Amino acid sequence: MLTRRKFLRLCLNTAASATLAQMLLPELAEALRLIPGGKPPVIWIEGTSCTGNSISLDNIADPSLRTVFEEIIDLRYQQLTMWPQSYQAMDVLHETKEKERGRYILVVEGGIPMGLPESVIVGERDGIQLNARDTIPWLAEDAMAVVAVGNCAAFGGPSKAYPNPTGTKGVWNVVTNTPVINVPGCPAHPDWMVGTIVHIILYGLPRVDEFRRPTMFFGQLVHDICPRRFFFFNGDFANAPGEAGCLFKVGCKGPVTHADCPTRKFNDGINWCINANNPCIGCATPDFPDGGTSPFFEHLTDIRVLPGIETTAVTVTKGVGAATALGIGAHFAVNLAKGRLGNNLTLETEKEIPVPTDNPYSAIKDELETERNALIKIEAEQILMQQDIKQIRRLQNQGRAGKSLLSKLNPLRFFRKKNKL
Amino acid sequence: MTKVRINPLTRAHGYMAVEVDIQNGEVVDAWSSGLLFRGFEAMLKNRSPHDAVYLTQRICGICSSAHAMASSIALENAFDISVPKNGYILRNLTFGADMLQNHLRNIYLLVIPDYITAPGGAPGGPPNNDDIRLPKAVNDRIQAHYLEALETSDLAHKAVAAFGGKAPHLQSIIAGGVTEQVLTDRIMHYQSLVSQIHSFVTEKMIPDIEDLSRYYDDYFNIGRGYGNLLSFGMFPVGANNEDRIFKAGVLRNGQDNGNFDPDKITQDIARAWYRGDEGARAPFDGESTPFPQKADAYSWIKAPRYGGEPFEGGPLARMWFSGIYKNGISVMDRLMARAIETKEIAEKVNDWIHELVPDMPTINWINPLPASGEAAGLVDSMRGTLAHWIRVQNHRIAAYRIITPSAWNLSPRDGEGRKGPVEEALIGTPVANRDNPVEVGRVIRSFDPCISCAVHVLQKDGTSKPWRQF
Repeated sequence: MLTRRKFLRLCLNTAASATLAQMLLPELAEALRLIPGGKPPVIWIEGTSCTGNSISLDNIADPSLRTVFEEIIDLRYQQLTMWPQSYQAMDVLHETKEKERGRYILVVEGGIPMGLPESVIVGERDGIQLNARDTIPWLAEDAMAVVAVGNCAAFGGPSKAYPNPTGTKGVWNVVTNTPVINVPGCPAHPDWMVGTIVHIILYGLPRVDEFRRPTMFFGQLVHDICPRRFFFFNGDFANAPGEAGCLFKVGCKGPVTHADCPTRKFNDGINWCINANNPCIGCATPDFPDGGTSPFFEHLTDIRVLPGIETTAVTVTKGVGAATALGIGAHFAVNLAKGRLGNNLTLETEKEIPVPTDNPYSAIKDELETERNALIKIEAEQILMQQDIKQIRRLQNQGRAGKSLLSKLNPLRFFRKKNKL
Repeated sequence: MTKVRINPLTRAHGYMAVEVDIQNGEVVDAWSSGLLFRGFEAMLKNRSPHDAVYLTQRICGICSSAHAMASSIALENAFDISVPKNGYILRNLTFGADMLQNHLRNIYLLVIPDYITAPGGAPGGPPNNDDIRLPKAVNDRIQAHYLEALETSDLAHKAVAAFGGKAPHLQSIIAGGVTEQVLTDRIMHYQSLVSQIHSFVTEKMIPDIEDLSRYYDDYFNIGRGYGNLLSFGMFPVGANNEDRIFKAGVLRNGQDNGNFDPDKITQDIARAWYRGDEGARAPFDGESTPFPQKADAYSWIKAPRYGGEPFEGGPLARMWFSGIYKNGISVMDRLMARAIETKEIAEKVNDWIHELVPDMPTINWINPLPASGEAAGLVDSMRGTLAHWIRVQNHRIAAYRIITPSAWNLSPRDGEGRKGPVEEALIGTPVANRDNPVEVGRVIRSFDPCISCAVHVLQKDGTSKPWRQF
């Protein structure tokens, strides 16, 4: 039997060899057979959506979409792929809600247009229009659980981008009587969607963070597991999208985005944003595409990482050390104070910041870069050295190295010498 | 009561409905409604111009690369950014693979369920369909291909991601080129994926569509519409996107109508749920805000017109202007053209790969961009003609306008009372069973409708319908 612990391990370690479901499937099929009533019915409903998550679901590689339809879920309703149309489709929706009360999983794609309910009409029954604002909570009433897929359903996403013309909100802000699991991403990775649904079927609700995202997929920062992390340590920064190196300076939001993209990758593992030399745009963060995630190609500004925790370029680098933070933070402080970042920095899109007509930023860019890169590099060396010291201490404890070895590696002396202090 | 409403019209991207007036077993009038509105043009205002490329992709989950292309081209035109050769070839390879993805999914996931019986596991369960004409052997074969398409439909998007970072919503195509490098391993993956898709298309998809065209041959005479075809040209080549591999063209009532002139494009909000400047307006001329209480409006889609007239776009228009397929204009011709275009693209991309030069630049990144500029980015996408217009002032987007292919195809009536192309194409469609008008769905789906790209409630007689209270 597939235990929860083993399932979680599979979810966390997909990059190791095969995809999530490939390892999961034989056991899953067995487990699903044991569920009373057979495959759980799924209703997939759209609000303010681009259908991108339906398409992303179609991109699932292992298991194939066919296996998902035939063996894992009983997809009763999905605008994009369902065979019946018109009142036949509406009949399926109503029948499922009535006959499968408490047993169906409601998947919501797209946000709920609270301000302009007329903006999304999902269908009609007996001549009465059903809008998404009323239909989604109505379907959620009798659902076992609600899975909000994609950033729009989870947090409002691009549908609520300023000025939020439709007054879109995330599902969990509207649906209160049924548990909502948020699976953000723009679009959500198919493994995240199917993995979460399977977890609900087999073990109940997954463990979630404060933003109700399953920690098995959203428990780590992109920055912390990024294969380009060492470029960051080494101060080896890309100066433009398309270059190798850490993309921090061209706007990477990896340091504030919780998702396992670096290990899972997209589209059957062939590529992912940073691997394509492109900064992460924070599509799984709660405020995407506002709240500091945009401009997409500019430095990090204040971003909500978790409730109550705001981060800046300074706090992002806290984990790295004071020098790096100083390097990046000082650069920020100076430039903000002098208004040099002017046209490149917005804290929020709703604020119109006065923009200088020329671009003084580029004139001082090179100078600052050299200075900052040097500081970051020093910091990274310190870290590496500290690792060496730990290693030496371990050897000493084991009696395999003398004290003299450590003295040769006096970090302060090394640091001073290196920097001619 | 002679009117029948189909709501929702499933197997379309985004919510849409259609109302048809059926008399003596034939459609005599039609109203198509887009039932989804999000307001991207307002969202784009005051943002950094570079962000448009990523944000506009969020308009549509199936044709994201098309918006990336149009947006990049608009920025490149506005600021005279030249694209390196590797850049535009990689863009076309990525966009080409996304075309394959779209056409495969349109034909198998959205269109074919109208013509065959449902296999077990079909989403939503089997529908009532009284008009299945295929012999069992043919039906079963196409059904098997439907299931196979479910298994392999991820391959094309995998090819997109090879140079596009991820799909949908690519992270690679930006103004100036492509951020991904020319890597031989990636080329190898891409070629292998496209060759698998090519075999599926030539061995399965084209024979399947040919079979449909034999058993449903009356659909060569259904859904003609105005006979107006329009293409902006597809797959831009050249440092300034000056040439197109599939040529632009204009066909008016079945006759060639000179060269395409972008200045002839207008938009009209007469029957759409907006208030503002009425009348046929050039893209930047006229503001509008959502107004769902508007009497006699019935769609969120505005009415784009070329030279004052409605035009349809899509694979048929492109194959027509390229001289590859000119059999006629109908439901079945649209499906045939889509299948043939899929094959053409799967073959052409192999030639383009050989033009790539490893280790040469793929992007000409300019940041910050000049303070102001204005231009259009016109390109054909999956469903027809896609246009983005951008106006930048003071380093910010001052105005952004988008006219999508489905806005052209699914447009409502304009101020002059002219129907949209889908509405016109529905006229004359025979309907055997008015309680289950499968014929209507077939006509609409031949246009590959996508409402995500544009679009309240139907208020056909100017009366507001009651909202359901739960």
